[in-house]
Amino acid sequence: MFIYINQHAIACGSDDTLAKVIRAYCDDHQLHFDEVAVAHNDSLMPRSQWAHQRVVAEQRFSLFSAVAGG
Amino acid sequence: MLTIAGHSFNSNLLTGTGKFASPALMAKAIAGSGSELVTLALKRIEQVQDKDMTLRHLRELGVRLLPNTSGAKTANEAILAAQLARDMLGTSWLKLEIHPDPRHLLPDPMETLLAAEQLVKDGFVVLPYCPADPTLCLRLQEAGCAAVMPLGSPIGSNQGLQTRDFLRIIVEQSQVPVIVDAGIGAPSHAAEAFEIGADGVLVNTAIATAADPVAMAHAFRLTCEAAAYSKQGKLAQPAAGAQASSPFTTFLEPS
Repeated sequence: MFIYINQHAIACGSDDTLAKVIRAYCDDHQLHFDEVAVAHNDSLMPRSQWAHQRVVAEQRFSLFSAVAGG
Repeated sequence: MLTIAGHSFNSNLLTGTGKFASPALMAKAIAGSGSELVTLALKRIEQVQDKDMTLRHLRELGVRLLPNTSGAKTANEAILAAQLARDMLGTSWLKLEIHPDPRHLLPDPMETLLAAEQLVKDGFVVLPYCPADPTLCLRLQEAGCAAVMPLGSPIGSNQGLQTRDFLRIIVEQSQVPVIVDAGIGAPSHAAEAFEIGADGVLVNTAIATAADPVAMAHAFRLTCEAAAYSKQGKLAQPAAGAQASSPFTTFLEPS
């Protein structure tokens, strides 16, 4: 099945947790797992829930990181 | 000394991390500025994106992070950005900024107040970037904001304190720290803000886009330190006419 992170299709298993998917995405993109945040349906998906949250086909997540800004 | 929400900072200079030629240069400039409260932004990660080392450098410097909500056009977007920042960075401190107009980047007062009220309820330490509107600043203070950050002139314009007359009123009325944000383009602008009575200034573009950002950061540091001493010393009052500083009027005559 596929889910979407920032509009990019990600293949994953039905038992995969959001934490596992985000960690794999971070590894693939040279991001630090501890330095990202996730939104789902324009709401925060708290980090504390990632390990318990199983992903569902076609779910769409937005992933954010910190950048320079004034 | 600058105290916000019960936390004391030795420096009254806040700095931003945008527009530097490199993260390493940014880190040197921030270190040179002596700033202890430093802004950064959030961004949706792109598929192809240069790795941004801003956060790593700021962690190494040991400064307090002040994430902003730049990019938010509404209160709801700003609230989501705030929640994402807290979840990511582990801080409740927030520079609230909502500017829907991409040309002038002027903050939306209504959305800013709406967002501030909710964010304070949600436990955030809110420092709102806002128009130099004395009434709005009072409302933001009443909403529980830890400071107010009225603009001196448009973001990145380096035009100095175009709003100085309103800043004076804001300072006079405020029970929370007033930090002049946006438009400060020279150390002299920062000095003027402090002489008006501001408690702090936030500087980014003037340092980041200077020919030598590290030297300019140091110049702002010295200016802000001088302002702190000046505040402690309290300025002498101006007089209507000349007041002799030496006893020359009695030089040729017996006293």
